[in-house]
Amino acid sequence: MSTKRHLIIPGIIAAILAVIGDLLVAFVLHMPPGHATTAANDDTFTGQVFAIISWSVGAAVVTYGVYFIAMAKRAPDAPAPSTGYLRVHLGLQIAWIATSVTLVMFAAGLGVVALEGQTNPHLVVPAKALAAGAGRDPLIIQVIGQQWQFTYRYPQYGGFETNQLRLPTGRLVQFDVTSLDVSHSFSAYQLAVKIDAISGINNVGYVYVLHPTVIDVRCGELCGLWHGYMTQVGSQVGRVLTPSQFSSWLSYAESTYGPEESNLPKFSLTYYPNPLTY
Amino acid sequence: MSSARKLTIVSGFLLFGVIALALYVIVWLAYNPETITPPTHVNAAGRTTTNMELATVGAIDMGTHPSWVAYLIRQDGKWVSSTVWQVPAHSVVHVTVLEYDTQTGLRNPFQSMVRGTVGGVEYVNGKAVRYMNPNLPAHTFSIPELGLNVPLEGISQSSYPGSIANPHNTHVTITFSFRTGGAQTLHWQCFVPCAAGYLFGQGGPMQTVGYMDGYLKVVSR
Repeated sequence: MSTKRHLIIPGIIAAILAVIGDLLVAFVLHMPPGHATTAANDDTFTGQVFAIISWSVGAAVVTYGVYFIAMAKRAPDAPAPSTGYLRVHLGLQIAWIATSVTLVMFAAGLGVVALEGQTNPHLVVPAKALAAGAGRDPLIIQVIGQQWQFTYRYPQYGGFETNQLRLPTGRLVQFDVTSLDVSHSFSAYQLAVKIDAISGINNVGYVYVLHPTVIDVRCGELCGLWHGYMTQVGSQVGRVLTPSQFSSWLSYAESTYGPEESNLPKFSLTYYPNPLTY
Repeated sequence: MSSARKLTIVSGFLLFGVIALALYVIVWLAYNPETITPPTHVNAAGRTTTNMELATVGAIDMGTHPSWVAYLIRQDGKWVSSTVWQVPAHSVVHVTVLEYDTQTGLRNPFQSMVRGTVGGVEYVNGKAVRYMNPNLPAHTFSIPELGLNVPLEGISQSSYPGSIANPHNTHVTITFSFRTGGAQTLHWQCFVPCAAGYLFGQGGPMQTVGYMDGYLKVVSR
């Protein structure tokens, strides 16, 4: 069999495998984190692109590898191949380098474009989220990390605090994230949000929610022995609600948590404790 | 490489593996905190209830850290130092806490609200309480995964006469009930930064099973 055929046959097999895998990635398999927010959309798209690239490259590498190992198997009594068998093939080398460079440059370009599209010149508000929520003030939700729970304040609605994360669709949401003790990280999986919670610091993140969904909240920073239990899943899961459901929930929350507001400190971007007090 | 050398290397790796496994087993056996199962009752209607009697105490010279604050649980009339408790699934747990520790106050006043109990209420010396002055708790009994939070009012500094060993000691009696839900292992904790001598009051007993943290093993009947 000619060298060309040895290249073409596994190439065809790899191409078939790549097309099947890529179609599965693009249209069948769920790629996290989903489509609940504009940021989640972007993350999901990026994940799909990289999955398609890596699957295609992987299919080619594995197929050629398996094919050549299978074909190179010689009979026990056959003479050992000469060193010429391993000769340099300039065309293959150039093709390999060109393919690698193309893929890397494509990934770099994609990253630059995504970064440009995600942020305004001040790298504060994601441009897509800002555009989607244009014309309305963002809903401010303060996320307060403490060992080992996240709680939430709604300063535009009297400043009540709750252990339930609720936010509406169709509105720009601004998360102000801080901590009362050690460093935590507010990680809301379905929102594609991960913001460090540090005492004395107010970290800000924005999200524009497209669809109602549940929100699994976890701490993303090793914050002590019970870090693994700093989650809000199951019965304590967060929720994205429709605007009318959110209004109803606000009424419930204000009546439930409102009476405690007098006990809370005045709303502040940080609540830095004095470690020497204790 | 000679056969003897190969044998030596393989034997060395095997010996290392055996030692590592033995250490793992020893640590596993050593870290096996005692699980207390409070008394459970099934009433005529088939509803299961558990009565759990707890005490929170300051330094009482108990365990490996005699100066640490801790929870105790009463078993067969005796106070036991254990914070791993087992209760039935889908049952109601009636809790009585004898609060012997002094008031510290909460870092986050939000935790002064009673949440997740039956009726959203606790009883402090028989008086129904839904919100507490955030300066009053000595500790909280909280299971974030259940949404349960109960601030435990401490005794005032001025009336603190000694320890639980003192029969004339004063304490605050707190009662509340909560539902366990399905079978699972829950983590419970205190939200008052009560670890004296530790940065932010959060180290030591606040992060150690047997003191201000523990597990609630909810098991199917």
